[in-house]
Amino acid sequence: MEIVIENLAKVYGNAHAVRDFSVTIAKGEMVALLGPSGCGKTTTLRMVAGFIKPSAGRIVVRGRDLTGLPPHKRDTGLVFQNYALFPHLTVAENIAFGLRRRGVPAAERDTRVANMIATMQLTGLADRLPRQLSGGQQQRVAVARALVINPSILLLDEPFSNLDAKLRESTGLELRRIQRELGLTSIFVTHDQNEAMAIADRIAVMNGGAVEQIGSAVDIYERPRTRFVADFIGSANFLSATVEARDGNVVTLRHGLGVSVLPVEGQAFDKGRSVTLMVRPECVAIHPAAAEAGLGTIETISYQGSSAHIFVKLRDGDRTMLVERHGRELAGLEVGKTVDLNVKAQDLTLFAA
Amino acid sequence: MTAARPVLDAPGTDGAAASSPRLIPYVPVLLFAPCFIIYAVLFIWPQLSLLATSFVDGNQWSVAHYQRFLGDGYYWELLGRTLFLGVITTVITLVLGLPVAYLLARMQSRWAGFLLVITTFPLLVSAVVRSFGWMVLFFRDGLVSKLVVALGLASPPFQLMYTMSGVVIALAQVLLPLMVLTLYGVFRSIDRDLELAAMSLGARPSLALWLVTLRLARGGILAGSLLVFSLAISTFATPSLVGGARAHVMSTAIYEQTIELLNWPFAAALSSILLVFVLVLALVYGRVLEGRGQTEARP
Repeated sequence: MEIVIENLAKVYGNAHAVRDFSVTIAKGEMVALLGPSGCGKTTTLRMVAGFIKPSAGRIVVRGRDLTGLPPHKRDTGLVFQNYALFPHLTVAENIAFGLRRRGVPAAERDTRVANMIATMQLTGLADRLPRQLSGGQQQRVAVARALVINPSILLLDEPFSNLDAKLRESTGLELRRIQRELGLTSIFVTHDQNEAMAIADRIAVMNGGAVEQIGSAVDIYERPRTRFVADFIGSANFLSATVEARDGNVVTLRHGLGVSVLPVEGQAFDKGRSVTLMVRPECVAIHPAAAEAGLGTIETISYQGSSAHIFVKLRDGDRTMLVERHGRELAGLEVGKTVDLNVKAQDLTLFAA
Repeated sequence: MTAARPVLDAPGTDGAAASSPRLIPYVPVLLFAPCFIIYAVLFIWPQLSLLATSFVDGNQWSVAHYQRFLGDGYYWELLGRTLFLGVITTVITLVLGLPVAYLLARMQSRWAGFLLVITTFPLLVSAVVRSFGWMVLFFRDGLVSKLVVALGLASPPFQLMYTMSGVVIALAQVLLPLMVLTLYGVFRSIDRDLELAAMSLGARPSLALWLVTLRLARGGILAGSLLVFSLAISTFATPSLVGGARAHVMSTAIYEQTIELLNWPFAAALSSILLVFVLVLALVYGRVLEGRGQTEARP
């Protein structure tokens, strides 16, 4: 394994910033640390970079234990959230900075800087100062500066958060292409789930200093292991349900939308227990219904072009369901109309309690 | 602005006119005027009349006072000693102030604010009072003078009172908070991530500090040095109290000419010469800053 992080932890006084963080990353893999602010993702990244000393655990890159090493001996390429370009140095000097520290001969240095400038589409900007560049260009210089030293690991701290929305996706995919081409192993930190899902091979969802789930984008979206992950990634409808019957590993659940039969494992789903079901908005079927027969009424419709978000107030209790429909499939659906909602058992995720 | 309007609109003033759109372009001028008038009346005018006085001998225009200054080795020595005092004080406050300001600016502990207040606390005490404090320590029986003898750096009878060394020590202490405050502001404006970026690219911490932070702080270091230097060569209280007649500098000589010898034209000439040095320095500083305008730190 290219990178092995074992039981990494950071404690400040009584506060656990990061607890028991473990992950192994294969060569060329890109892993995103995703979570709300204060979840410990940046602290984890800074421990890998060497800026923060871990309270416990080990960081091993290519078989070399980095845990006790200072940042300048770690050989990591780091892209900062605010880019941290040296304001007094030109683009070329910024990119050459790491090569100079490594004593790379001038001729080779110039070639490598020139190649990197071409790769990152910075041609013609070599003699500019950072403040004369656009945000996107500054971001590319920051990436170039980190890549030119051939780091054993590329770390990115919210690399796209300072770019505007349109630039964000294209820059992300471009970075992904370069990272693949160079076979770079990479960890990046983000609070933006779309970014993480679009770019990363695997996503570690963090909360309160701990990892809630590590997996591919599909894994964490379709098979969230905890309520937090289900809620944090995408939109989720939570339904309380009661176990009506259990037959071996199959349970019958009664919930606000009817009755579903699901396979389960474990003791938490015995007969009579209260549980929680999660269903994604796009998995809820919605039909107009006769006024007395429907499950709820449409409260709001938020039309967004390609899709529309329909908020349905259920008749029993005050729970509101979010239903996502294709933007062109709104016939018969209007605010105030009574509707029926259906879910398929395969689209339900079950959480104890 | 709205809070001020009732006053402006009050009967008997023509404040209503001030809020008319026609006068809006003059608002900056009007806002600037009080400061400019005070500055002109209390600084520029006296300064010009001081300059004029320095060219008067008896009842006619003359450069006699400047000739006297230039022709007398004593005054050259006086000027040299004053500039030396400025340079050495600047160097001492810079060497002592840089690490303090850097650590205070980078400190993340909640004590940082408290330590900054402690550092600048001496500014709340008048320089005269602080100089008196040093006098107590510098007299023959004073703690510091005794310490110097005890360390074998001087043989008795010895005292730091009425010596240039004493003036330098006291003046450095008086001016150090100003240097620290200036540099603190500069270091606070430099993103700490820049140093971390340099380290992640392979620079030792000391090299990162040198190549990035200190390079970006150059303007502020110059500003602090200029501030301390110009105050050091023109300050009166400390050299007068600690140095006395035996460690004369320009400011004490000007005082002596004015108050004791009543030779105002010559005192004016000394003042003007001192002012020229400060002005030249300020201009050079401005040019240096302009030269590095391209590389100034981002806020």
